[in-house]
Amino acid sequence: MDQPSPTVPAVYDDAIVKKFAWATMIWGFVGMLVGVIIALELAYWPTNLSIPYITFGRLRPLHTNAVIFAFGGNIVFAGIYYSMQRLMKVRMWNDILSNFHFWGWQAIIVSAALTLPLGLTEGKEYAELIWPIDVAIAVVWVAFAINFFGTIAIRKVAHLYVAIWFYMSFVITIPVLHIVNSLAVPATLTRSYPIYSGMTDALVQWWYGHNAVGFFLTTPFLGLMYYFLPRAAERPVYSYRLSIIHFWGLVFLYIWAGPHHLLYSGLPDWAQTLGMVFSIMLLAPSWGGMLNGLLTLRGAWDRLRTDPVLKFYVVGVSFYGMSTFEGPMMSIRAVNALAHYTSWVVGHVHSGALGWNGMVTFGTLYWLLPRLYKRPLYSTDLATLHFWIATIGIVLYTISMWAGGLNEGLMARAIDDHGQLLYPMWKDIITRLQPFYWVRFGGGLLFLSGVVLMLFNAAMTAFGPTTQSAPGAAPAK
Amino acid sequence: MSNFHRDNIEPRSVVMAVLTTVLISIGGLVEIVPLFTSAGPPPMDGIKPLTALEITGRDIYLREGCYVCHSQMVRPFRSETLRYGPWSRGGEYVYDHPFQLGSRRTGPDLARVGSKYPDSWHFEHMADARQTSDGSIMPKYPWLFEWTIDPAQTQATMLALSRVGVPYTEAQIASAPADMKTQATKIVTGLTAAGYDTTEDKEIVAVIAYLQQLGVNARASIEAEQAKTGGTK
Amino acid sequence: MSDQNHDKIMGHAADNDGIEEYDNALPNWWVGLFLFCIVWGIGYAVDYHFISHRSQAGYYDVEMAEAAVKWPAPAAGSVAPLTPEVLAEGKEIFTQNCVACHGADMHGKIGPNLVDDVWIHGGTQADITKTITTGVKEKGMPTWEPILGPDRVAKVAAYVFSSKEPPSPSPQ
Repeated sequence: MDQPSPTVPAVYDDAIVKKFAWATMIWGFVGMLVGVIIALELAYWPTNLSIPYITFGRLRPLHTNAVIFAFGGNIVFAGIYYSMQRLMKVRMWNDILSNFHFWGWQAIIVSAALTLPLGLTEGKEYAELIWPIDVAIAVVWVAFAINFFGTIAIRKVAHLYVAIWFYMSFVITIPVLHIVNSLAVPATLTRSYPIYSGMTDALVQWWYGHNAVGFFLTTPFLGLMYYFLPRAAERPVYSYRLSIIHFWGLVFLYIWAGPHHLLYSGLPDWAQTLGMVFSIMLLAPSWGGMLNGLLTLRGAWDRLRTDPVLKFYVVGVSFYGMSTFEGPMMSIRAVNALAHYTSWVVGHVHSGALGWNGMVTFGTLYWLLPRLYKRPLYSTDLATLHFWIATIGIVLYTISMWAGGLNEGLMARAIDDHGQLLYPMWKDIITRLQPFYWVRFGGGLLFLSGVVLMLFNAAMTAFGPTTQSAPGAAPAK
Repeated sequence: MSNFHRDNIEPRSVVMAVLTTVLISIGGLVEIVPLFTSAGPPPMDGIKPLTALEITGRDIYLREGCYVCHSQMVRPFRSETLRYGPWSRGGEYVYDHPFQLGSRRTGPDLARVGSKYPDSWHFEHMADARQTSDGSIMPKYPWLFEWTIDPAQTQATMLALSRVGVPYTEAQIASAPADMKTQATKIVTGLTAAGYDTTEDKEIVAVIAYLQQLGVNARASIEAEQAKTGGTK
Repeated sequence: MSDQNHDKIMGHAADNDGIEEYDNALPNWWVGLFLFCIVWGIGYAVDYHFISHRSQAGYYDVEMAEAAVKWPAPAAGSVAPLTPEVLAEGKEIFTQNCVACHGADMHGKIGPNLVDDVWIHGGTQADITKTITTGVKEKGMPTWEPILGPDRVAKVAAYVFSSKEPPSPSPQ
């Protein structure tokens, strides 16, 4: 391929980064819009207009797939293509594979967006996509992995930086999870049935589901943090030793925690116990990442007042610390007994997804855009406004779901003086949740509005008039 | 320690990749592999594969994403067994491909809903849940009363399921269309007598067939076991 | 804690696109937390399975046994007194749970008419209490006792019993 000679600086492929960055923003908007619609459907059920294709049961998988694999996936790919070329000091090994990866991934997303509302699903949470799409995911991933390791092989540096370790765990683990969990026998072109039966299927699924959180929404995002946070703060990473310990700790421990999704189920008690205790052990390695992120900002705290990128990163890393504390707590049998099946779980997921993945994504984009287009950010003020809107949205979302979930959990188990259920009718619980559903809808709407602001800011940065006089614009490096 | 890592692992991408692969494999292997052996939940006595009509209803249950709001797993707490019925054992799910335990109860659990209500209750409930369950936020499903089932699709489902271990015989698959008709006629006859108008080929009939068997065999098996041992329910 | 560390530069910047790393030690409290979680996890698992021999089925049996002592089952055939308070409460329970099938006017819909003279499963107050308690599986009448509890079942049965004679008297 086109390797630069040692004397000429590498010419990096930033066009692919731009594509992934735009895909992130566009799919982020779509995925979150669907999220807001289904939030409204819970607050006000006639919202679906009795149209089969937009009922909650069909749109909810579309929402989860879009925000995780389209929004989350594209920003991770954008960040990897940008940072790994610079960390390896070479262009990506093969431009054709890069583009195949990009277009293949977008085609997968489009086919997901078409099939899920049609009710074409495998019926496994977070792995709903039908088998032909599953095959396409595996093929595209192999292309990406070849390009990834090819680039490492031709690198011009001796050592791999910690961000690359985290990316590598993502590139290796995701196909293992995806392929094992998706093994199925097709009945038709659009339907298939998993080879695993009952509780085994449940365990494989949650091994996959939990580690999609671990290796799709955690390790690659930590990789982004390790590259973009020190670059944005212009500070050294706090502790190299901590990077090593918490990386290997996460890689080894995360994979065990899946059964905490199946506490008090028909899964054997020993497997449930393993899921619970490994979740507890995960706390410290997770917090290692938070510490290295926050402590890297020592000496740069004053820049937090002016730099929206650092604002997003600080809140993102803080939410990471909070949800990786909450997760192990919810894995404790006694806590899980109350929390499972309630909105509390939804609140937990979104404190991670909006707070950690969302904020890190926004921070990364605001850092990347001026550098990719070699123009200053159109408006720092708009970015700061986005930050505050998003933060308030997350707070409304998570607090309403936590409070609603506690209500649900306590009502479902409440016993009166005669030893009978205090709330025998499900209506009692639904009615209690309605106000919380409305607040959650409001929080989600705010978060989505922030994405709209970002889209505008990004478009103006990239394609706006060249005479640049926007107030508060930061110079690009 | 960090020197060793710096000198021996960080420069060697293959070593790092192999190490990562090994470390992420251990937990999954330790937890999942035993379930294929006797350490997994034993199949429960009396659990039978779904009939052709019931499995058709299950495919519709999957298609509509019912599992995103309804669980099929009663936990071993008194508050849950009072509300729903006997708690769920692992062995009652052996023929479930995919499993449908669910992760969120926006609506109530369905693991024991079979034969709890008459067919006519489900008929009204799927048309408009508010008619039977005041305050419900469940969508209306008018299309289930219009769209029709296709026995050929059901046969494809049964064939695929037989390949993953559900004991459907060739004869059962061959007679699926006739069996579906027989079971559907029984349901429709009952509904017609109660004053509800539908026909054997409508999806709603398959959905009712599926819902009405949920947990029935498991409950009978658990209660029989308790009668033997004299345990609590 | 930064003061206790040297902030010694590792000198990795050339390999890291200019990102430097400090040689700072692991925070002591973090190491302590990690070790504590590991020790606690192992201790919990060993205790749960090998010392205390606990299980979710065992916990359930204990919970049920305690409940049986605390709230003994009412004697078979016991009925609620037909006081205005009981009937008013019974009416509310009926409205919430029964009207979907038996109708607000009790003339029946999915389930049978409750105010005519026909009693499929017996028309005494004890019969009605029993029918609601156990349900009628083949007809799709749920087993209400576990869901509503014996106290509410007795009250709603009292209300149904008192409503059966036409013209239906509103309680007091």
